[in-house]
Parts: sequence; C-alpha cells; structure tokens
Amino acid sequence: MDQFQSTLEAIGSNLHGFSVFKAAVLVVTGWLLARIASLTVRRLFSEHLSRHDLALVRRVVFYVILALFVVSAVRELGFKLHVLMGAAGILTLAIGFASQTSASNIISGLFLLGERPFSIGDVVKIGDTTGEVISIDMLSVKLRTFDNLFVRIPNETIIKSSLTTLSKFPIRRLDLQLGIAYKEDIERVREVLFDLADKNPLCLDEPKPILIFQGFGESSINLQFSVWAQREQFLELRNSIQIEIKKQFDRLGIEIPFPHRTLYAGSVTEPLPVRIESDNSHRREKT
Amino acid sequence: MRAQSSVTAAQWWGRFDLRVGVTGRWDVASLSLAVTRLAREWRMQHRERKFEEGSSASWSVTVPGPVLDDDAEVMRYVVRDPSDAIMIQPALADRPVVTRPVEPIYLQGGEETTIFVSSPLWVNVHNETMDGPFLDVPSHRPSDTWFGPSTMEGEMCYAARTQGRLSLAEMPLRLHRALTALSIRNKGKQPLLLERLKLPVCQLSLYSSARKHKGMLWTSDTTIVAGKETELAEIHVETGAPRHVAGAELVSGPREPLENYVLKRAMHALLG
Repeated sequence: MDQFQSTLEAIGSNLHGFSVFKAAVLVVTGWLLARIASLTVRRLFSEHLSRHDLALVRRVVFYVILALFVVSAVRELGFKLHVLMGAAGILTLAIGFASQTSASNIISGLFLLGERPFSIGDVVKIGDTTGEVISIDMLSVKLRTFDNLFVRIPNETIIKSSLTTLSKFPIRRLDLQLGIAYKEDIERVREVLFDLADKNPLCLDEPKPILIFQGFGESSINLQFSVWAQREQFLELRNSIQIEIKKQFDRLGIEIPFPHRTLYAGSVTEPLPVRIESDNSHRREKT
Repeated sequence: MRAQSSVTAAQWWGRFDLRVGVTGRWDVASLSLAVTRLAREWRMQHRERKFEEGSSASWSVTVPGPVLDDDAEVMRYVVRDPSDAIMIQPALADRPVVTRPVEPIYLQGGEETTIFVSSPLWVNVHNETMDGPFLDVPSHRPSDTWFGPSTMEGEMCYAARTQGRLSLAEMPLRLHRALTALSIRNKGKQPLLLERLKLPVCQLSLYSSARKHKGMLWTSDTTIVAGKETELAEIHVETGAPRHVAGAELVSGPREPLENYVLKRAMHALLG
C-alpha cells in the first residue's frame, strides 16, 4: 500500500503539462494508426476472409495497436508499468465484484468466438427473437430483425439460452400440417400433394417430399407433408405451396375441415330460437 | 419473318435486326420473350407460358411480333449503340444438372459406357457492344434439387426431368434442350451403381449441329472416370467439338471457364 501511495506521489510530481500533451498526442496518433491499419486490413482481406473473420482480425489489429500507444502514453506520464499492473490487479478485483455481469458477458463473448455457433450475416433465433447477426461485440451480439428493428442481446444470455442458426445449412425442410376430412381418400390426397410438389420448381426433387400420418384428430385426419427448399427460397416456397394446396383441394373438392362443436343447451335453459327464412324473403331482404 | 418450330427449320437463336419501334417475339419451351427496339432503348418483357414437354411446337419466332401482356416482367436498357442488331443466344444452366438413367444401371469393373442426357437451356439476350447479357432466363425453369451425401454437405443443382439413355436413337431430339454424351469408365473392380448423375453444365461449351438435325444443340463431351481403389473420381471435359456431331459449330463457351480440363472429385459428388 505504501508503494502504491509513493507511486501516486511520484506521478503527481512528474505530471508536467508537456508530458500530458505528449501522452495525448500518442493516444490520438495510436487511435488514428489503429483505425488506418484496421481499414487497410479490410481492403486487403475482404475477398479472402468471411465477414465474421474479417471483423475479428480488424478488431484485434485495432486494439493491439491502440494498446501499444496507450502503454507508451502511460509511460510518458511517468507511470511505472509494473507498479501500474499491480495496482490494476487490485483495481480489477474491486471492479470485478462491482461488474460481474459485464465480466460474464466478456467471457461469454470469448466462448462464442471460440465455439462459433454463428457468424456475422447468419440468421439466428435466440429465444423469441429472429434476425440477422450484424455484429458480435465484446458484451453483446447485435441483430437486425426482419421487421428492421435493432436488437442487442447480451453474450451471457446467448450462452445460457438455446440458439438456432437458421442459415447454417444450404437447404431446409418445411413441415406443413394438414387436416383432411375423414371421408377423403388418403391415397388420392397423397397423389395430389406429391404432384403439387413435383410441379413447384422451388420444391427440391431430392431429398424427396414425405407424407407422415400424424393421427386421427378431433375433426380431421392429421397429416404432415414435408418438403425441402433452398434456404433462400424457403419463405417463397412456404407461401406458394400452401396456396397451391388450398387451390387444388378446392378444385378437387377435398375438404379441409375445421373443428365441429355441438352445442347442448340442456333442460335448464330455454330452447334456442330458430328462424326459418324462405327463399323469397331472403331475396327481398337482399334487394 | 415468321419461323415455326421444326427440326429442319431455321433455329430460334442468332442475330436478329429490329428497327426502331419493332418488337420481336420468341416463344421457346416455357418462355415467352418480347424484345422491342425503341430510340436509345431496348425494352424486354418475359413471362412463363403453358408448355408440355414433348409438345411438337417447342418454339416460334415472330418478327415483327406482338408485345406481351402487362403481367410480364419488364426490363428496360438505355443504350447509346445505334445498331438494330440483337443477339438471342442459347446457354447452359447456371448450376449443375442432375439426371437419372431410365432405370438404375450397374457398370461392371473395367467397363465403359456412354449415357446421353439432355439438359434445359437458358436464353441470353445481348447486343454486340455489351460484355454481359441484358437478360439470362431459363427457357424452362427446372426443379431445384440437392446433390450430396447428406443434407449438410452437397450442392444445389437442377433436376433434369428427362431420363438419360444408352442409345442416341432412343433420345428425343428437342431444339430447346442440349444433348450431352456422358461417358462413364469404371476402373475399379467393384460394379458401379449409376442411379443419379451430376453433369457440370456450367463448365461445358455449347455447339450446334450444322448438318444432320440442323440447329440441335450439343454440349462438350464429358467423361467420368471412377478410380481404382479410392473414393475419388475424375471428370474430363473435352475441349473440341462433340464426337457425335458432324460439322459442329461453337455457339457459346462455358459459364465458368475451366482452368483444368481434368477435375478430381469425391465419387459421391458426381454419381449418386
């Protein structure tokens, strides 16, 4: 503690205006050089590295250069580095207790960089949020959602929660849940569905579509029709194939039932009023 | 000028002259294309039309012809070039094409066979002064397919809905598709199952036959050599004209120029 106090006194006596000016110049120069080096790295390697790797290399280059100049500036101010490091240790301990969350986020960020479950530009689903990764920073990951909102998710949250990377593999399966009436011929429905998948160019030929019998539902036979699509065409296929199925079912008279409910009024309540309208009165009402 | 679909008639592609205010209309397989020459501008419309594979009238060219309805996709290009010439060129697909033999075939060790496969054509529209095409659209949009050992590893391709055949005589000749003579050589001892074949059409050139079946389009000959012991296969792309075509003329080069005409690929990346 005495050593720390004596160092602080020494710093106070050595802090001259010129030294402060020199240190400031060093920090500004360091920041400028680090920025130039970072931009140069981007220009040189943008074609060879992925966006994720490029961001990582640029960040390392920037902070290493800046750190060297900051250390020089600190020396210029009269600080002795080894003493400062010792002081920094004590300080870190104190700050560590006060900022556990930030430290946890930084460490989580390091794990994320090492594990690499996603890269910049990937589409991910974290909790209820789905969006494109626009940056992976020291404390958090920034997403742009599809309704163009900026979402910041702390690294610690990502490490703790389950994460789905939607853009990891080039193809995706679309599972359509369908219900058909009990009176329908399942074989015929199967043919109709496979024919529609065959005619839709976005639906992959291989892996082949599959039809899974899900069970006898309350008011329908439940089927799952699974088709594959290129990742980029997933949404387009999701729309087009469902519209085509509805149109074709309507054309062929295949019924998609909705839940049926029988209302029992019981003996306690009055009977429900029923009004019968003739065709003529109906027409009169219309006119 | 009005040309109707016929194997012996003039082809649907080549150089066409359209004066200012004139529209040319091309109907090739499922594609309807209208190109209009305006003062300092080319206006292009295209849309899909109903077309049954195997139909006899697979194409027609009408100059001057009608423009397309408003539901067609429109593209306009401002040009300084005063030339009236427009080039309509066939091209091969922008992804590999996967085809199947009529029935799966086993190729015995040491044997070689040639399978004739047909792949869909794209239509390029450009003028003489431009580097790239104005328009690059499929004459028939093939279905997407995945070719690879798993859903995690592989390549996006197009599925050729036509089947490969061992004899050229059995092959239906269509002017809106390109034919390829794909030779497969099994250097190994084990029989090789040919169930699905991937044809790297982006790396093949396109030729037209000038004599027999005039206007028919062929790609460069291609050979797949299955290795002796390894899981590697070599693919050889011939640089010259296809050997089954007398008096072949080069129509267009490959989309992706080949630096090496012999490529080594994992077996599963060529044969499914």
